[in-house]
Parts: sequence; C-alpha cells; structure tokens
Amino acid sequence: MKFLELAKKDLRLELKNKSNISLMLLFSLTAAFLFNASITEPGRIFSPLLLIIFFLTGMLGYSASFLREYDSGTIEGLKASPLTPQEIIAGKMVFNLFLMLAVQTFIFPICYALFDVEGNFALAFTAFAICNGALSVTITSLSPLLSHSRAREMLLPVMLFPVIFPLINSTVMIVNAALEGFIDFERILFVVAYTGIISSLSMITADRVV
Amino acid sequence: MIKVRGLSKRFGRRSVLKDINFELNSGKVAILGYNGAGKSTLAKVIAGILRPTEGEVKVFGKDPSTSPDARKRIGIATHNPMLYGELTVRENLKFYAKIYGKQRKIEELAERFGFSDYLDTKVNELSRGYLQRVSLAKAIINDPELLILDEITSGLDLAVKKKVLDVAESFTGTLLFTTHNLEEAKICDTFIVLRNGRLVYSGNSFEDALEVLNEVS
Repeated sequence: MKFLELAKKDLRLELKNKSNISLMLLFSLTAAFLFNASITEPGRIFSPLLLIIFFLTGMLGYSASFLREYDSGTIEGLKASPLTPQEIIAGKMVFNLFLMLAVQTFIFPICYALFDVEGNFALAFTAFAICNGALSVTITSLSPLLSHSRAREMLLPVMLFPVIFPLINSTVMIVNAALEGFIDFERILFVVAYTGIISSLSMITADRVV
Repeated sequence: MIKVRGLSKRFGRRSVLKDINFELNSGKVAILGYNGAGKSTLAKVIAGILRPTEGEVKVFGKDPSTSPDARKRIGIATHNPMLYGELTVRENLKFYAKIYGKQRKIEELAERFGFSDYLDTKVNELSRGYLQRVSLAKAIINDPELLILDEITSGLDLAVKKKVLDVAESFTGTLLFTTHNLEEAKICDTFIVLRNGRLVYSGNSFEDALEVLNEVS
C-alpha cells in the first residue's frame, strides 16, 4: 500500500499550499454565481452545469498533482524509488478522489440551494459523487500521457473531452434520475465499466508513460 | 553487480549514449567525461530512472527500470535534489523512508549530515549546501548496496564538498561517482571515461583514465 504514502504526501502538500483546492473552489463558486444570476430557471441546468464546473476544475486540479512532479523534477525521485508506475498513478488517483470529494462536499449543497433545485438531495449527491469520481479517475489516468508535451495545457481539454463525453452524458441522466428519486443502475454500471476500462488501459501502459 | 550490454539512449533524434558495454562487481567507480559526454544519463539509466533505447542494463541481475526490488537496493543523489520544496526536511525524509519501507531515524541521519537544526525547515528555504546534504541523506535512507552520486559536488563550498566526499569514501557498498573534478575521482579505484556518449576507457588506472580524458579534449 505504498501508493497511499504518495497520496498522503500529496494531501500534505495540498494542505500547505492549498493551490489546487482554492483554484477549484474559486472557479466553481464563480461559475455557479454567474450562471445563477443569468439564467431564469437555473434548477433545470443544475446537473449539466455542475458537470461543466467539475470537468473544467478537474482538468485544472486533477492533472496538476501529476504535472507538478514533472515540473519540480521530483518524478525522478519516484521513478528511482521502489514504487511502480502503476502505484504512482494509483496514489495520484486516491489523492484526486479526495480532492474531488472535498470540492463536491462544499460546492454541491451551495449549488443545490442557489439553483433552487427540488428533489432527493442525498441520492443526487451520491449519484454525482460516483460520476464525479469516475471523472476524476479518468482525468488522472490520462494526465501522464501529456506530461512530456510542451502544449499540455492546450492539449488536455482537446484530448480529454472526447474521452470524457460518454461520462458527462451519462452523469446528467443519472443525476436527473436521482433528483426524481430513482437510481439509474444501467447507466451507473456503464460509468463504472467505462472508468474501469480507461484506468485499466492507463495501468497497462503506465510502464511506458510515467 | 552492474552489467551494461550494448546500451544506447536517444532523446528524440539526439543520441546521448552509444553502444556502452561494461561490467562492474564492487568498489568505487568514477564516471568521468566532459559536459555532454553522457555521464548523468548513464547514471540515471543505471538507477532505473531512464529506460535504455537499445541494449540492456542489469543491476543485481535485474533491469532497474522495471524491477522495484533492484531499485530498492540503489540510492541516488543528483544535482536535482528530488525533494518537495513545500514540505519540511523531516517530512521529505519520512516520505522517502516509507516508500522504501525503511524505519530510519531521521534525527540520526540529520546529525550525521549536519542539518539537525533544519529538520523542520521547508526544503525551498534551504541553501544549496544544505539541500545537497538532505539530498545525500535521502539517497542513503534505504541503506543502499549501490550508491550513485551524480555531479553532487558541483557548486558546493569546501565544507559541504568534504562532507560529501567523506560519505562517498566511507561508503561500504558499491559507489558510482560521476564528476568533472579529477581530484575528487581519486577516491575511486575504477574509472570509466565517456566521450560523446561512447565509452573510451574502463580500467583501474587513474593516470590512464586521465590520459584518455585529455586525448579527448
């Protein structure tokens, strides 16, 4: 379970500089307030808007924990250590899941109240957490592919969007169903399977990529 | 202990190491060469940080780039300290000790390397000299059987340089030491000279290595 040490180290770094979490929270809050002020029935766009927020903040935040290792040269310390590339990716996934959950716990209730949404809060929160976790795992899995690219900030959304689109599409349906009190098992299964495939591919290619 | 067969390393079209072959069992080995000779790349390939483009490298009978067991027995310190600037010295060393699965007393290491007063200082607040001391402590935190020191003394003051050389000299395992400074290389008993990515000398005579190095220039 050495990958947990890596996740703990990232968490300790985040608690010290708070760069990712403050960036994600600031962006989320700004987007939520702007949309709320400019749309007459914001409740109807609750789930797609939350997804846009988490997709964009995720691109900024989830990939940063990986790219920071490359920029500071500490990736060499990890590669020289007994950690396998798969453990490095797994450590980053655990940290990003924590980051995602922290931001969602803060933003979801604010948006829920702000947009005057009606429905089952607990079910919608849980459904969104599952999908958001899938989003986090997928972005983390793909981040190392771009770590050596000079134009990675531009490439990240271009490359991620087509891969993530099936997740976004399903998440909107799952959260809408959850708000109405239903659990869309079929789509949840699809999200879990899709994420499993992407993260497995990432683990298989990790030796060549990290 | 270290077997290198037909090793080549390219970065894009740039060839950095070309068909390197040598075998080392134990002792203190200096890798000499001028800037751009490929010393650091060779050190990183042996440490498992970089993969060979062609050929093979075996350390303790295993490919270090794919074998965590081999890497567990190697320690490396380079001019890049590989430390987290926002974390304290203690947090950095604890992190590395844990991923190597070692229960080292950080205080003992700090005392040995003379940075006890800086254990709770953030790494990015340290001077270059102290940074290298911590980097060296990190390199031996796993009690390595093979210690690789890559240009670690460049830009250091005499006191820190002496400390580094003392550690290198007293190290009981195999030492791989890349340096520009020929005086420092005298602590070694085997010499490897690289020129433009090719191995041009491998042997036990410092004078011969020096001669080959000067021919190169």
